[in-house]
Amino acid sequence: MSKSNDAAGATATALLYSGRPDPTWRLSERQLRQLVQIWDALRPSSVPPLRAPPLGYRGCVVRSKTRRHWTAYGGVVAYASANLPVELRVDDARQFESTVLATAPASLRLKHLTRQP
Amino acid sequence: MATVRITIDLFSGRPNPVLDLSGRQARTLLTLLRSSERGEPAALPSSTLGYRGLLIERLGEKPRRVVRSADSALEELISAHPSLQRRSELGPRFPKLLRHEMERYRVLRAHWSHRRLPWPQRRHCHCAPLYEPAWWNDAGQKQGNNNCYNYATDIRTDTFAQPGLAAGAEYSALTCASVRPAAVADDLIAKPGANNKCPSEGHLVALVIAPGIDFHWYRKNRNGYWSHKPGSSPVVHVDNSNHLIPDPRTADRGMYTQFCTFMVVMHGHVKIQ
Repeated sequence: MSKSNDAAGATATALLYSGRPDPTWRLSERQLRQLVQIWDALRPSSVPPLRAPPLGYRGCVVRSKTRRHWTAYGGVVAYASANLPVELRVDDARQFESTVLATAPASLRLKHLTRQP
Repeated sequence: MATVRITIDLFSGRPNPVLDLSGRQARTLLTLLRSSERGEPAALPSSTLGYRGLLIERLGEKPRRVVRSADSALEELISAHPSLQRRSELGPRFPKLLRHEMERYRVLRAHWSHRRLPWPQRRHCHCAPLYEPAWWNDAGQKQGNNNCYNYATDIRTDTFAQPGLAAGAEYSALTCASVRPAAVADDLIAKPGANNKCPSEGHLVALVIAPGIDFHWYRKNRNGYWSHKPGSSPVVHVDNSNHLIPDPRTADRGMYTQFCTFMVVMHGHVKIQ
């Protein structure tokens, strides 16, 4: 789980828009490593992820080159990779999510668009 | 030796838990299934929320056959299966939850009416496309690559279509004044005075704007209610307050605060990309 040899080519996406393509940016190896460390420290969750309202910010997704991906929203992070069931972990402080969003280039101006209630 | 796959049909948002049984366990299960098929002819309700039975499939069997069963002996076998205790993603309370849900489903079946409830129809919306979210919500190619504009126009392009792009007249700003003519260039017909009334031909769509941020489209269904597809997310028929949408002008639209206009999609006329 904590291997990050697939860091090159990893991307992050904010699930935000409806008509326009969602903003996507590249993650550095160091950034992906940091996210994997945060993920490794989270405890398992049996609570289904909070459903985001249909319009507006709906969480963020990290995709690695080896088709592993994490979706974070509302204090739950879901991890999926090929042939494995989705694994959920609690992130009450939304550390994973806020760390992903902090890697977004300033030019995307996501800060005020990704606030959650 | 045959492997039997059991899917516990339980969740709505999360994937259902799956167990693969082989050897003696698979033989026991198939024996129980055969006797239950003789004694349980009634169709099981399959679109309720919560536990909806066990989906049983013999892997490798051709043609593929999946049987839904809620036989109590089978349920007993599965709910007590030790591997459920070890599945960390299901949580430690899962076996208890499952048994509770199985009991709830027994009660539900005892009172279940198989009468089909009529879906409200309005004759003047007979030209509107079918509301068929399952067709779009495939969690893959269709869902991920078609947006609100694709859904509203009922045209799958797998390109995340942008107003005006097909006509070489793409919008230049995220304003009503820019997106509306781009859609007109795609051959949608502006109907600012439609007042939420279905047209006699084609179907009604609505354009809303998050000023400077994004645009969004809704489409009116045959029953008079509206549905929409927020970006790569699934098609839904509720607004941001989880209410049905009788009129997009009054729906909770989040950041899409500006209602731009109603438009009509004439089937076969519109080209999007």
